[in-house]
Amino acid sequence: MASTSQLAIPLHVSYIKALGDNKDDLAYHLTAHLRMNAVYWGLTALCIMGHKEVLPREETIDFVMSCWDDEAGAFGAHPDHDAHLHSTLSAIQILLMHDALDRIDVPRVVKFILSLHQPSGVFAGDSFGETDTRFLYCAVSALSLLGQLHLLDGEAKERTVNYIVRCRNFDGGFGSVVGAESHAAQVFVCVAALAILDRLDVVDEETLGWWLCERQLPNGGLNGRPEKLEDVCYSFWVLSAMAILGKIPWIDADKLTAFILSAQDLEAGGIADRPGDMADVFHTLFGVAGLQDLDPVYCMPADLIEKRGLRKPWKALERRTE
Amino acid sequence: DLWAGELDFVETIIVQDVRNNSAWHHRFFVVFQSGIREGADYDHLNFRFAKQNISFAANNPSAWHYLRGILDINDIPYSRVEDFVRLYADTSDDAIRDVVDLENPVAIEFLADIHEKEGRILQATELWKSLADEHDTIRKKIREGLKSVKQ
Repeated sequence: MASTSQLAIPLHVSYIKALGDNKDDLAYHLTAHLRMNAVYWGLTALCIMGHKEVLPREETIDFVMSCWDDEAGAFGAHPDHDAHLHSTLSAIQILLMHDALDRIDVPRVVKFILSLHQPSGVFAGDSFGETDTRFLYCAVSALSLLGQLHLLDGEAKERTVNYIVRCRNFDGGFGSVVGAESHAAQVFVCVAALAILDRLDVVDEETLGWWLCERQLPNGGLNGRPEKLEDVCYSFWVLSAMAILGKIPWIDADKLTAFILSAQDLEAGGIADRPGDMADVFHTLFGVAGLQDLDPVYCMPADLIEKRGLRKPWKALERRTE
Repeated sequence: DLWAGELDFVETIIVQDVRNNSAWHHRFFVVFQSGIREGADYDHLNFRFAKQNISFAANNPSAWHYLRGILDINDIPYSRVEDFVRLYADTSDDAIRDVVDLENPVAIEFLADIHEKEGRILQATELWKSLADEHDTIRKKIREGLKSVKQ
């Protein structure tokens, strides 16, 4: 009988499995623009819960390849959608989890990624030009997972790091662009990108560590910035940033764990942004991520990243043995 | 000229919702980081702005962060605002409690930091202990870590 004192793995596994079944739902079609990302969230959650087989390998790979935008040389979120950095990263992550990276035309993808690098050091998300530190992270992570990070070298790497430095705010946090407010998700992407680039030296660890641990509310949940509500996905954004900075002991882990577990939907499965709300695959991944073995830099199964030789120095939450 | 109405704009937003963290951040950026210069009354106006808004919502972290930001970026010692902070932090004094009766971990934290910077480690530690045990128990672990480092 599932309870809020443990992670109801079988329930969440069946929840994710069922997601692809409701192709008649309007919601399914309205979310076409993030289908690739949704598959990545679902697959990663399944992997770290030990049930990768639930999403059939060939079918998943076929889906990813059907999103290839041959004009741009990268992946869109859905067949016939334009290529985008975010969906390209998700595609790479999915294929890596299924050991099918050989299906990627690496030189073309690298060309696409590097073509989005701006003079200021940030990356655009696609040819339409929106810039955001999230896309900077997508680019750096994608190159690293493909084993091509060395192609972002010398001046290009310096430019990238400098952009992040310029996004550093007076509270130690980072925003989406220069001058933007500190936000936990942007903090994550900046800190993780710096970890991949081996430039964590530009982080004011004390100040940022404190700002991050101030995200914890008395109910144990974490928010994204001052005066905002707690949200399960910050269990990943905040917690990962703290793991990378080695400040995990600054969080009350027991209360956070209790909060995540209380946001589970114990009837239909899945995890919501907070107790009582509707579950979705995004919050399911980031809720589970707070409790299982996920690499906080790449947001992928820890053993896979280790095997690829990409593990950075980070210290995660001590796992409870159940 | 792009910035001409910006300060008024952000003040309007803060008046509408004093807890709007985005607005507070934007104000800090406009005042201190956009390259605009104001008159000699610059710092005084900013202190006054922060203090007034703290008096409207004493436990609003955004306003307190802003106050810290003013001190940090201008290299002003925290002790400059000690009397003000004490009003909101010192719940032991009956006279003060008549003015402000809201429990205020953010202000207590600020006062502890002032004590620490002035070398009054014992008083700082007492306040950190009160935060860990009573006013801000969710951050008990980090405070115990900090306590042992500073003693």
